[in-house]
Amino acid sequence: MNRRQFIEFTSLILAGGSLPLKAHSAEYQQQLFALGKNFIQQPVNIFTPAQRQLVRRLVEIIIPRTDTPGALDAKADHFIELTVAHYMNPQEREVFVSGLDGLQVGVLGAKSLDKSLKEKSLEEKSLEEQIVERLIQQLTELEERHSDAPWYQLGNRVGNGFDSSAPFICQLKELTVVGFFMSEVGATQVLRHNPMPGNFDGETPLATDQPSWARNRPGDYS
Amino acid sequence: MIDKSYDAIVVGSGITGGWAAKELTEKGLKVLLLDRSPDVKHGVDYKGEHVPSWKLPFYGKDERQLNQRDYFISQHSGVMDASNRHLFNNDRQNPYQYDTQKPFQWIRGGGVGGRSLLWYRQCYRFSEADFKANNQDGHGSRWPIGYSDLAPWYDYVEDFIGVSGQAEGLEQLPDGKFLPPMKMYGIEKTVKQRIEKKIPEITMTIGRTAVLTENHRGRAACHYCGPCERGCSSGSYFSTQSSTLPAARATNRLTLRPDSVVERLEYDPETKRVSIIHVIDVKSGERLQFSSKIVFLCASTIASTQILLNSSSEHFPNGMANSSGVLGKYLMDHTTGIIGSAVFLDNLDNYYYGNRPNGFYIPRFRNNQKQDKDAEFIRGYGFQGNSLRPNWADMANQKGFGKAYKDALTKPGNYWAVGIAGFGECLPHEENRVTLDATKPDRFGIPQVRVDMEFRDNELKARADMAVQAEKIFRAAGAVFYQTNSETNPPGAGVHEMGTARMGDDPEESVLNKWNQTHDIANLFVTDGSCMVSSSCVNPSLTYMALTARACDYAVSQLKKGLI
Repeated sequence: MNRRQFIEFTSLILAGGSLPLKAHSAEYQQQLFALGKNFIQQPVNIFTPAQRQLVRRLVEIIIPRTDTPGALDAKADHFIELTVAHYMNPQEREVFVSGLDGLQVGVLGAKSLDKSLKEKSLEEKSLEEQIVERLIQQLTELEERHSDAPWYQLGNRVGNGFDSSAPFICQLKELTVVGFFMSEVGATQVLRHNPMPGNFDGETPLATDQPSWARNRPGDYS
Repeated sequence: MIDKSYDAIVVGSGITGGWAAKELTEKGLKVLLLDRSPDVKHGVDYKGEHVPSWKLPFYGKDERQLNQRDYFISQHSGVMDASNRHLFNNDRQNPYQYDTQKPFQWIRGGGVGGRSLLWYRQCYRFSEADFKANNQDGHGSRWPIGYSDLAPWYDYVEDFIGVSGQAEGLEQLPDGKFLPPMKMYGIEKTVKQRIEKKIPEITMTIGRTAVLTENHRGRAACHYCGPCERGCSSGSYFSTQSSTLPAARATNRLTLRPDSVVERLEYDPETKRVSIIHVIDVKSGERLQFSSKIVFLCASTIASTQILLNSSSEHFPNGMANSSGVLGKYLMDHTTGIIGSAVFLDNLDNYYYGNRPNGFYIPRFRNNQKQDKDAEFIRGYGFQGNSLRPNWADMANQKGFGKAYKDALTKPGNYWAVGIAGFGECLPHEENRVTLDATKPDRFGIPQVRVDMEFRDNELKARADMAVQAEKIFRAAGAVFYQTNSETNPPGAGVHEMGTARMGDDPEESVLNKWNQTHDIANLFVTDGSCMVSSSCVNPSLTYMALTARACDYAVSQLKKGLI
């Protein structure tokens, strides 16, 4: 961990702190916000069907549905496609897409592409399980290979910015996490969302099974 | 045709302009309030208020390309996103110049209300020692007023805007008229107790803030939603829109004219008054002229000085009201930035409820009363801090996938983090200044401002001391891990820019007298941060408000006596 990163660790919680920003060039003009729509309601089409299916598998591996909704329920895959299309600069996009294409999906028949995971037959599920297992193995290897990436260092909090030097595996985790916990599903059904608390108490008792509060925006301190 | 229908014209509708409009209208004057920016109507134009994360583009991640193109300075504020970008200055449309080797971040508002909608709302009084410091150590010129001159106006302002805080009885940080203080986090109580026991000269108090902790003058108490900078339709924090503008409007003597750039003022040598205000309508491009009995410049430190510098005439070849030659000089800002971050394993069975729009404050504890023997710098600094219980965003960088990863990220992390930022006093240096660059006119043909500013030896030595003291504080507080850093953000980043038209009793070394009236022109007042003679280390907005209210009182009394 270097000093600068640790300093940034809490910089967002303080007055007068400024956010570190990285270079970028993605073209995007948003209007949805003013119309009051959910960000992920807008269409995007930058991935191939195979890439799209792969991203669906990956986000569900990273944040699966358990007794609470998972990344697919929150459409984190769609958030990722929007982000790759309109947020990333060409270099970041290249890192992501080649990282995606570098994963071995194994025997993946073209006919299975348009089926959602839960619609598959038992036989296909077992095939699916094999694919997922293999993907987990590859993600784990990627994580080992890039374990010294700055993205993993103490003090790197997923915030308003984006680490342009992040390898594919870190891009994938960050966007899955943001696409999940900042989504309506993640914020309201997995975290606790309270837009109008009414008061402040800085020492409420913490129950062990209590989820964190949802955030207003990724850079927020609470 | 010159529009002469107003008694007073106020330039700028931010923190001080709103106050001038309120005071002057309430004292019976017909006031025209000009602002260069589009109107922002209370409530209806807070279009990002209470917008949930999932409706923001990229869930609130910075829109880097747009920011880089149009908001390359505003983005440094750290609180701008799609929800409130319309409240910030467009830096492409409204440029200024600086040497890239000496960056200056001029962070501006972009709507009526200016930065009153965007500020961090901290309210601290200058102390008697602050007003005397220049004279005592010989840096900068003498303030023409002392604490006792301003104290009743601090009372007056605090009572109107509503400031929550805790009285501490400190000489270096006078108490005010406070609404009930906000609460501390449990970890902050622990830290406070340990620090104050081991380092008795240190006080840790809750931030004094213009956020209401109870209903006040028709405005509702804070509902702790969090991001104040998106605007607050319940008016729970002080802004022009929530507080001074409604008061001014209630008199029926206010006319607000948004989208109105003041190009220059015209001086009439016969009457020795500002005679005409030249205005450009941003939307139509039309050029307009106004005339009034008195003029209040409240456009913000640099912008007011820009107007004066651009109002040269035969009589005032170096800028209006600049017979002293000090106009534009002695620009100050506080040194700012994170001084340290610490991890604590106390109060782990605590969590929190609600989003506190405020932090804690450690008032100046160095060089109080007399110079500390071990201090290699003069003046002082204060620490502003905040605490967080980590959540998914702080922990996403752990290794792993699947249920365990999800479960870990869903719950609060097992530590508290406490960070402190240092706010250091900046000495007035003649070379820190703003000038006009006639070779670079803006879209209205007005010469751009050029800012030359850097922090110097004393500021940087104080910064180094902050890191040393922060370490002592973290040790005393029982941190299990900490890091310190003595770097400062660049000038301007504190958004406390001040000076450039300083007050003083001597017309040969100051622009303004003790009533914020220019020495040279009786009907011209400047009451924003440009009047400041020294910077103290405390947030200055409350002082600007008190000075403005005081200047309005004087101006109207002079007007009534026929002296203006």
